[in-house]
Amino acid sequence: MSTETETEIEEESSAETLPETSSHQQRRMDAKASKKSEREAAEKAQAESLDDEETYELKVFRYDPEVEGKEEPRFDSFVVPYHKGMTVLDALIYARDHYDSSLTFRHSCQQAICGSDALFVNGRQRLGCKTQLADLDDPIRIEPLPHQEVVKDLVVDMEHFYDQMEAVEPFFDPDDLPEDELEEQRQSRENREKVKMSTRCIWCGACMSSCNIAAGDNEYLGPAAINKAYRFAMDEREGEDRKEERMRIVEQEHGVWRCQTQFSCTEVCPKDIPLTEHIQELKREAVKSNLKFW
Amino acid sequence: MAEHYTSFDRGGRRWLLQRLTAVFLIGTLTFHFFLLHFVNHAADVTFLQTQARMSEVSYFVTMVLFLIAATFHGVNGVYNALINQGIQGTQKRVVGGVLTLASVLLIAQGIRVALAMAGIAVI
Repeated sequence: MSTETETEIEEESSAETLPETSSHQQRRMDAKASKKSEREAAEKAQAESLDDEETYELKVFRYDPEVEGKEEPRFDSFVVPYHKGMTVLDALIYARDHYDSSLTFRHSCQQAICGSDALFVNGRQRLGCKTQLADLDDPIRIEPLPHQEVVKDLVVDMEHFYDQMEAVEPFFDPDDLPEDELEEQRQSRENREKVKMSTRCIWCGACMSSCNIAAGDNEYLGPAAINKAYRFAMDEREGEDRKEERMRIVEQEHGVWRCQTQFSCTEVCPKDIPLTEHIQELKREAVKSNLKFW
Repeated sequence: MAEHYTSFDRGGRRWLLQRLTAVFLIGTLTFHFFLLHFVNHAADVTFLQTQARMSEVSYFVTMVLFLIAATFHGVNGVYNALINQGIQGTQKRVVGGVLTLASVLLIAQGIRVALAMAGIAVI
């Protein structure tokens, strides 16, 4: 009981002194608040003016057949503030969030794995999220991938690319399955090394867009699809019969033979896959398995 | 497995031949340029010398092979370049036919001239 009484007394005494403290505190709080709002206004003004900041100018391709005034393709300029480590995709996101919410482009993981944001940046196919602004010359010209239909702004129609990818049956499909369903289908280390680079494809379509032959010949499978075929044809676990079926697909007239070893696909691949070498290896493989001298 | 549309050129013989003729042409072209442009200059190349060279069986055979290889390499190259441009169907057949005919005529005329140079009478 005595403890309760003491508490009550303390509460009473603090209640008595409260109005004085409160008004003092209130003054300080008001002063702080006004300072804060001044500071925020100054920061906002500075951010908007971008005068003292390092900036980059983006020249972005704009086109939308469904919107009046955007039916004719044009380039819009956006000036974005630079921060260390900023990528082309970061800059595009900034431009969309601060200047024009209708700016349209694909992006997802932002770490070079989803393959959504392959763009034509300063005259070359690159992944937006993997390209540092600091590595590019200002102004930065951003266009949709060439040789594909533009749907809107930086978005291109990927259907044809996906059709070609699916044409090579891009899935693991062994001749024989292990008898015990829990048994693993192990790959030798050497074989894993052989197909390692080809497994890195993220279906971004940069290679297909850079290929001169794919641009003119729609039947050509294209570097990404042939690389996918390589990944499974060279996988020893699938067996000889499946390999032969896979080889039949790539050795059509519009399969591997169309590659003219320009290496443009290899140059632009964001995952550094030696695409041209894989295509050449499949050509040699096709010749070896089909040339008979008797 | 689903059936696939194919315009079969199984085995890529033409691709392999294109490579092999390329290698052969590097050798024969070098030989040709050295002999008839650098060692013997244009002014020195006379019909008499030509006849003498063509009378040698090895030279004659090399030149005929050179002709066939160059014709195949050139014509196949043009055909492939057009395929790369995406020609299909009738266009493709016509181009193939015209180029084959051109090759046959070129080789026939080339051999006719070679025989004449070697002094071998042909009816």
